Amino acid sequence: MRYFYSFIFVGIICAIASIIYDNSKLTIGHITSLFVIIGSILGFLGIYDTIDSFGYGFNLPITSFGNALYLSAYQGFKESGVLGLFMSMLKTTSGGITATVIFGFIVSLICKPKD
Amino acid sequence: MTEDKYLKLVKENTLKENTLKNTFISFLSGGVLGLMAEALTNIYMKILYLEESSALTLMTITFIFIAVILTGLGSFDDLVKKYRFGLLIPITGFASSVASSLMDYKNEGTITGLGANMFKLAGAVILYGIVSAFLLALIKGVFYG
Repeated sequence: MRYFYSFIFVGIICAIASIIYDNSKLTIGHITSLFVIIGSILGFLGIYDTIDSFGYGFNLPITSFGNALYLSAYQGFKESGVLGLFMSMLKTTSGGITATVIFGFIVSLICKPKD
Repeated sequence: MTEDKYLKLVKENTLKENTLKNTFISFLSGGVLGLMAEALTNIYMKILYLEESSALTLMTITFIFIAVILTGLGSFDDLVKKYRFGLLIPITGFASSVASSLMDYKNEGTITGLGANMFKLAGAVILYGIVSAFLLALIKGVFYG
């Protein structure tokens, strides 16, 4: 059942993005930024935390990036106030950002653009 | 029916069909990636005995790795044309945008090329993610405890 929920949830998010893209003049950059903000709002409302427990696939879309940022920032605030907010904002997302930078750098040294 | 009217009608209908098809393809490809994420996390937890949070991070890194390699080989764009938003909305889109801007600006030097342009597209995601998370966490912390 977890597999089913993961499939449906990620699928629906991507379908919504596709619908927005086809019916408006927004670029892909606009849509991903919008989705990150939506993710942190869903985290703020406590919705993302609830649906998160239905499957691991929920951690894949960019909305979970906003949710993870919000959650770790709030955790930091609870631990050590406003300073904690600054200190632990990137705690959970650091893995993704670091991996992107490192792998991207290595690949850019080795590969050349196609055209 | 005049020719103009006919052409207009054709255009409207083909556009609608494409939109529907695009939505469906995005749904399917996104769903398959979600399935893979669930399967990978379960495998990491069972085989490598990782905690849930570590397994989730490793799963994200795996997807980033695959996306970056595909971008390096130049096939990510072709895949996006085929499978559309199923590949762009998951973390793979973020990773691929960083890798492709790194590759594109490689010739302009290591600092002014690579360094200055690496987050050209992904910067918006980080900026608005952090700003919105900061404000919301502050509101939640101050007003709701």
